[in-house]
Amino acid sequence: MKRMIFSAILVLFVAGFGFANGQTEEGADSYPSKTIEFVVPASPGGGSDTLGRLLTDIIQKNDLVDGNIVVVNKPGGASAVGQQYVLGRDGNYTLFTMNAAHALAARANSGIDSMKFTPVAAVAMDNVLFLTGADSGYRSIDDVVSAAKGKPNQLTVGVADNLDQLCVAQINKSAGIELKGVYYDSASESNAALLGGHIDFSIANPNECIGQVRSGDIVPLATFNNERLEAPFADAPTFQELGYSDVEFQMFRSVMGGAGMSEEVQKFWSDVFAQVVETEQWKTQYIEKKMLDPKFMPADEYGPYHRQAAKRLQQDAQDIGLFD
Amino acid sequence: MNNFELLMQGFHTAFSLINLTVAIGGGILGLLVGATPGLGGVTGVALLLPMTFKMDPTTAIIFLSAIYFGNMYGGAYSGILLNIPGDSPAVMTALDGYPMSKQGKGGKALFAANVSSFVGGTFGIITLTIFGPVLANIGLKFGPAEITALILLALTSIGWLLGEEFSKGIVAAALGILLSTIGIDSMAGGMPRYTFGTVTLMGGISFIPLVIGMFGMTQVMELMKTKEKDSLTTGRRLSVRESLLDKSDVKRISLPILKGSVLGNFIGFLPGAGGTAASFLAYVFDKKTSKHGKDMGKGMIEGVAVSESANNAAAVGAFVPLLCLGIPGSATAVVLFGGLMMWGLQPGPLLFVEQSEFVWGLIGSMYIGNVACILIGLMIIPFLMSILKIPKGIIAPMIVVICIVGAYSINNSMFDVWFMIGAGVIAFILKNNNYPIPPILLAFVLAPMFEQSIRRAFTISNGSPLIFFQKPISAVLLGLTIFFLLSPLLVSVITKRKNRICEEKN
Repeated sequence: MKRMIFSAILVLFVAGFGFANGQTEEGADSYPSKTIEFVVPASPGGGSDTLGRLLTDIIQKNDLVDGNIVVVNKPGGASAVGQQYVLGRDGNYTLFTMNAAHALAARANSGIDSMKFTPVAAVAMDNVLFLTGADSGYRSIDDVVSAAKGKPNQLTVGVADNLDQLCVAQINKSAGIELKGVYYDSASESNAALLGGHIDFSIANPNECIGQVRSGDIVPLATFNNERLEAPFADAPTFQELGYSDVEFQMFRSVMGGAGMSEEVQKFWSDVFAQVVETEQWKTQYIEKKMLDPKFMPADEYGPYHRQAAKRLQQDAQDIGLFD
Repeated sequence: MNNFELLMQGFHTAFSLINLTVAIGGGILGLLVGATPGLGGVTGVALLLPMTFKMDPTTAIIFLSAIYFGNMYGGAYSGILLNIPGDSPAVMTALDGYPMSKQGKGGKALFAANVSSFVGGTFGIITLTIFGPVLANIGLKFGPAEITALILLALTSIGWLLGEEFSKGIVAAALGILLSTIGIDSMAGGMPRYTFGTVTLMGGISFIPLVIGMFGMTQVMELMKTKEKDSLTTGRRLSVRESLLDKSDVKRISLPILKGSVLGNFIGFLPGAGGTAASFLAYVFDKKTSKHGKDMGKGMIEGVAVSESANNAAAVGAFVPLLCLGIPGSATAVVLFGGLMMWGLQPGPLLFVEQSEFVWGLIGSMYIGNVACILIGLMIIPFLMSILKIPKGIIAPMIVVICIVGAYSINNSMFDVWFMIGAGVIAFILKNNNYPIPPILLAFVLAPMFEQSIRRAFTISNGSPLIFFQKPISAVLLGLTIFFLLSPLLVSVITKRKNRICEEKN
């Protein structure tokens, strides 16, 4: 009797397993058949979090996907903890935010191969500015270069991560000077140090300094983009205009899928985000507000771009001895 | 218009029916979130932020600041009642608050916590109203060198924390420093330290699981050690009347509240400090400068008062650089900064000029939010006190559940849960061998701040220590540090000389 009950349970179990398994098998029309996890490899409230939550909000408000999406924060290790978590999830049902800083940090730090993930779409380009305080006495990049010539490692630049450090290295190499990066936890901390006169320059995205630039407390000396930005940054020349042709940088912000995401699913999400970036909410709440470039790249374009960009960042970082 | 008229206008904005409703609703929500270990102000505000995008900006920020204030109040409750600080600034509150609960004075501790939070918060709001922009600019003067000197000065006064056996205290502090260095070193191109090649440790150790383990879990183990079946208060019924503060209590806590408010508010508007450092430093300062100092940590109402007033004053202090300069001074302020942009406002020095109705509406709402929180806080004291009547056999497993949920929710990570349990076991062993726990936590909070500041200072000066003496603020602070270090020596020299003179006279 016992034996019979046991085998009955076993049969039920196997059947149940088979059934459950059948459910997760991907047919293109049944996708998605379970909840999608949108992983934010950073704490609530930061730039990646804002992006992740806005994207899911737009998708759900406009019914772009017939299914549930939850945002999961996995902060730590400059995105390494979040990426490690994604590696252990179902690739077809996991998305996460990526940007140039994360692409540089994660691989260098942990040996996580970012090529394992599936590029889905780049949703915007962020600009980078070179700033100084209103009372610093520097009015142009020429002032900076002539002050720094012959005084290596005297002038300081507040940087928030390795990516900013790379930007400093570009200037140094091109102008033949040695500005020194001082690490801060965030751009707002380094801007505070700039206002207090503790450092000479700082590097930040437009939305991180727009308030102080409009009030005149912080002055943008140049932009790393190859076109001038809109007001209030319109007076800041590009490094190219100034003759530093090899100083150029823009930071991509993108969405990646988990490891082993199938091609259909990758295409599915790429199409979804193509619709997202056309919505009014995206344009007003993200692009305009944060002063980003509305450059969208679908999966087939972003894939090769990501590979190239990540490789270049690694190479640059190695060249300036960041990982020694 | 002067500030006063603007504030009156702000009150007018804040006093609409909808704004009052969200202030009270936010206060209650904030108390609940704050009292839940692991769910602190940052997470609470970040998760509720999207709810506010449809609201009018003024209503939205009133809602969020009420949540923020409620949080600061609520964090103290679970610390006092269960010895599990609801948020990190409440660690110092629990040091005295929980022993008070055990002595049957839990109601008094809750009452004192509410009152101190209210006074500290109000003090912060008044300084913000009157001196906002001036204070923000003073805060900016504190760069790496000045912060380093400030922490050094604070460290001269923590000898007491090390407990009766000096060497054991040093071991505990060293353990705290070691734990705080785990993870990615953001100052050196992202070099991992003590991670043993695992990705999990790269994020570093979070403070909340450490605290929950070392307080809450250890607590449960202590409870299980004794065989009594009683409740925490050994079955005695507590009346509400007992928990009211009498004249002598008010007299005892007024000076600590004043110290906590001033110091906490000041630390709040320094860049990169925050509520936890504020309550730590205010507590240490009060312990050092008052007569009751040597009994603090054993259930003194003064300890609850100074810690709670400091962390609420600091919470408001963090708004000063946010509103006046557009620079968020704490993690929660970062989230609010994001909120401001979402509502179409541009944080920065022009905010006061361009959005004066919004800013003064917010400041007006802070007064209202604070009043709402203390009223709610005082009303729920009787309910909270009933927790103390629950028998140990029931409360112990409940605490374990709260600890596990709290540890998990901070990073959504199972590792944190295991770490919390491990920390609890280790703390239990340490405690039973007379190793003090507070130095571990204090070192854990201050060491990273100190390390980052001193390394930044040395990067700027190319390794020259002169930077600490060339800057006037840090030179003064270092002078005071040296004075305090030498003072025991000076005192003994002077008394010796006095004795000799006396002897010669005889």
